[in-house]
Amino acid sequence: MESEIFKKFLEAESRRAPIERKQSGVGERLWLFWGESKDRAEIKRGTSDIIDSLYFGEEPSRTVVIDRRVARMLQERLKGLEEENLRLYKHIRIMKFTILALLLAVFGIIIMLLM
Amino acid sequence: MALQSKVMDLEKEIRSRFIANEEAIKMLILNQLHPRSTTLIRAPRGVGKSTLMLLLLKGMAGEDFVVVSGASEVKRGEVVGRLHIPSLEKEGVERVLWAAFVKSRGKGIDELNRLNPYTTANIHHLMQFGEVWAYGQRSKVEDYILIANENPSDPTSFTHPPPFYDRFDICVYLRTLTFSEKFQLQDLLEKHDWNLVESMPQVLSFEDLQEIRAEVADIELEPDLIGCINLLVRDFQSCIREKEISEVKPPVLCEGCHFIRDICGMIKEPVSERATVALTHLAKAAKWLYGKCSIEDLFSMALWVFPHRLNLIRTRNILGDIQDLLERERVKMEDRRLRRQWTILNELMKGFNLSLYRLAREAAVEDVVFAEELIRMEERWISEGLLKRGEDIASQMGWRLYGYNQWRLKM
Repeated sequence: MESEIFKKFLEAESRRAPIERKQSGVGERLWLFWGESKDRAEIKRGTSDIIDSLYFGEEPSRTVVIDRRVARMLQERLKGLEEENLRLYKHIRIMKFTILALLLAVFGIIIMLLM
Repeated sequence: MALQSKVMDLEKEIRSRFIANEEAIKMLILNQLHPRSTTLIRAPRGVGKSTLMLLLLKGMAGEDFVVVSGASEVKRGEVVGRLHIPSLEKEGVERVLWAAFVKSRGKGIDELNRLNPYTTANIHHLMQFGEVWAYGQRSKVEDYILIANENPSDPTSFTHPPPFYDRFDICVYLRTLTFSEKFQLQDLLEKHDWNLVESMPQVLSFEDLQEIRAEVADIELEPDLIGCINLLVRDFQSCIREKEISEVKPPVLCEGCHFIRDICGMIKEPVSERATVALTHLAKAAKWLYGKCSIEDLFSMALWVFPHRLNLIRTRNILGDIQDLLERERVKMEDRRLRRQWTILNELMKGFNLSLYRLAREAAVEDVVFAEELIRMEERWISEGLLKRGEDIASQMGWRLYGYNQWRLKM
């Protein structure tokens, strides 16, 4: 024979963390669901689409879904940006040497004028 | 509320004379609020265990207390009773003069670890049956407060039996003082003329204490709190291989066990049922005194209820190790709720359902305590013809629980 307090404990726990039962359409099968309770995951606002967050400035949600085509596009875009980055880096180096050469030339002219 | 404020005053008076160890003091006070309270204070030498014991005894029993010391030669006559020689000589009657320790309301035992085994056996009997025996005569012992202290690392100790320690409701550990606390202690000693105990007033009369104890006994705890106490203790006891009656103990017993990584695998000697009683008393006392007792409070109480009742397979620092186990236990309790274990058990108690039973089996392979309950129910379903022997989880996993799925009398 079960203790009354034990039964009350189980009832209290059942209320705190309930399960829901639903009859399936096929035969006698029974589906079990976890019911509403405190441990339910908190749904945060935000978009799950990466394009929306990249191009429209929307806050991304906890999970972001990415399509194969979008991934390919982003890959291409990253590749293009890296090439652009390298090209600009080369330009910067050339410009640095040019500035240095010009500075030396200006410095040389000033010295020649002073002499 | 007058009685509650008196208990608060007692705590305040003790705190004004004893630096630090606030949680230990709080727990010591709570433990006095049930009949025949027994308390053990453990600390290294010089930390103040005797002082704290005397402060408590004085605060509740005034001058009506006796302290026996394990450090001195204590004979049975001083603790229990001695023969009245004139009566024997003149009348030929064996009259026993019961010792002051038996008659006093407040009982203190200093340096319990040094107490000789014979005296310990007498005190053990007193705590167990509420009576003492000497020269074939018995004396009933009225309600009391018993506070003992010991230094567990004292090399000159007797090894007392575990059932004797089990009779102590709680065991609090005191710590040494920090740098700034040492200054506070010096200030206190100056203030009280280097005698902290002398100035301690009697805050509660013993009649007040008995009234409080009666009120605390009438407090009713919520089913979820009682459930939590029972679950906590059961998790610190259970073993699918029945370590309680096994000759081989963990970790050897746990080799190849499905639950090897569980809490049970860390405990060599489990706690007794007295842990449940002690936790219930403390929870009731907390509810009476503070108006509430939460599950978190129960976990902090368990830290003082378990250390003298169990043996771990590896002990580095008993309090730290038990704290780790309690934290794991707290997570496990929440995990059970998330898995809806008790909801499933509740539904299964109302009637057998295959879908729920499958879920219960999944939970049982992760949880010994739940498995025990499911095995018990499986036995009923087998006898009712709802389940066949061999389909049950106990047969499939090779689990045998004493008294459930072994040979039983069918009467």
